[in-house]
Amino acid sequence: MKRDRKRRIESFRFNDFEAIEAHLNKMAQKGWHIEKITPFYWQYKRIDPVDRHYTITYFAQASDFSPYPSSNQEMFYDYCNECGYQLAVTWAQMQIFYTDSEDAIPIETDEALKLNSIHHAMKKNFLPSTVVLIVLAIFQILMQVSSIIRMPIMQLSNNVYLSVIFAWSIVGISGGISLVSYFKWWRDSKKATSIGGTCLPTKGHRHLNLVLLLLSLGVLLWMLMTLYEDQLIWIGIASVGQITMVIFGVNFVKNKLKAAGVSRKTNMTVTVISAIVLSFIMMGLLTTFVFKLVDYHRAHQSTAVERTFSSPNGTKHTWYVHDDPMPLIVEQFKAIDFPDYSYEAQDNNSILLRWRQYDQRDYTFNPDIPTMYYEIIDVKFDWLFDYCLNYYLQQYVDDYAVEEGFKTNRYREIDASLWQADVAYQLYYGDEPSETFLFCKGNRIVKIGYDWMPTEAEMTFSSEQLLNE
Amino acid sequence: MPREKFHTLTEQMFYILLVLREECYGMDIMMQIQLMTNERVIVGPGTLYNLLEQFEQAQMIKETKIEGRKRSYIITALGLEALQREYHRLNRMIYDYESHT
Repeated sequence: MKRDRKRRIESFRFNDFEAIEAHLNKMAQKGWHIEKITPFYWQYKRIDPVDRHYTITYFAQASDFSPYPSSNQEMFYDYCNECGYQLAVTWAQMQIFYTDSEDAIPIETDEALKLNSIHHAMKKNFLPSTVVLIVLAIFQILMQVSSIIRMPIMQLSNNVYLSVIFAWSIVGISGGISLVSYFKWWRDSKKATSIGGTCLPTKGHRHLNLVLLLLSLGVLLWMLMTLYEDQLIWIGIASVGQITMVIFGVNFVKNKLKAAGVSRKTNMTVTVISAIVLSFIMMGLLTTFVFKLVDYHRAHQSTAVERTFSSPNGTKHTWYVHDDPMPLIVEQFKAIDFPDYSYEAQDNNSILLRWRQYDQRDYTFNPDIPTMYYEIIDVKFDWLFDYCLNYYLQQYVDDYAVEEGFKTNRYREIDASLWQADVAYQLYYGDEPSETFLFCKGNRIVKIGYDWMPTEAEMTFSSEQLLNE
Repeated sequence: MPREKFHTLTEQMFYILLVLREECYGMDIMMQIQLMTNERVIVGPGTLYNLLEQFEQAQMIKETKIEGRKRSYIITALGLEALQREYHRLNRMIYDYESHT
């Protein structure tokens, strides 16, 4: 049975009227007439294939929040009807008319006026919303970049984090292309119409739009796959669900108020308030969900056990004690049999970095029990290596202490042969050597902190375990 | 400044004002211009709507009556002045042409 209606995701820009007209003409030839435009899809109704001509005009006073067309809009529709045009659908200020007549008078017969009314309509909706989107994207990208500068290893080894930057970059680029191409078209058309010419053809960048759409879907998929690998797929699904719910909810409120005949201003105010309230509620729900999921995830990890320990001062604390596999443990250096160790491992792997953290802890905080902490960083691109190494080398530098001449922590280069490495460093507090070391081989950086000063043999053994791991 | 905006008139502006020397309903303006110019000048419905709105804002025409969704307009003194100014400008152009050919 043939479907009477079909829905399509279209990638047209709001100002690309020529491409939309051509597309709708083609759809009518295939037997589909545009019936409805929503934020998610365009809906078409089956008709007999026909050579139908669609014309788009922009009516600046029209609003998506008005319950019905204004008297001026109705008058405009009447003029168009009397010239043989029927209104197919509206999309904010965009009014899509059609006619089956071959020799219908064009709706716009003065190019300068046409340009003026298009620009007037664009200033009302398309331009401010695009500017807001670009500003938001730039703000988000700057936030993420500043976070990378503060915590490069943590952020660059996280695919979810990187995919968020990609996603906002796509939003910013897409908005920037829209804005630049619109202003270029408007400026060139203004020049042309001022000397009696016509508005220039709009360059819709439809293929570019499609590429950006596919890239966005790719980034979303990448984000979901990463979350899936980290067993946190529900966070991804909940985030997508949250955004969808907010858009659905806000549209639902707007459409219900429209149907109830509520005025444009009231509708706009209530819709904006509902968008803010709904966003906060959904964000709160999502945050609660994420915390609960992370808690659940931690509690149900096969190696995590909840245990209560007494600290040396007698206070009791409950900790999750892990038994994760570690490539190097204290017991390989010391003859110690301590059953309460927590062996904690974390593995973050992105397209740029792999960052593994290992921590052998003692939650009884007994000063006689030795502990150990180390990190292994595999930098996947040569150009990123120096940046990562520098981060570690500068990690403990306190500019204020240096300026004031106080003692400060600083790495000093040491003999790398002990570590069988290309380069090695030891952390010093002033002139006092500490038990923290940094060494690199190839594209691998290892940072290790012992609870005791290791012997040369222990250093060599550690590097054998961690550089070849 | 409205007067500056309509300092010279396009062909479509000129004929709309010409028709509105007598009270006329919006759509009839289009028909009358077609008849008057033997279909040489055509004003589309979008252009007509925009020009009527702008003329009204510039007080070159005024609304005379509303019957249902139909609105009628007539030219004002300001509109007549613009029309006459355009007429003289065109005459001047014809004179210049004739005296140089």
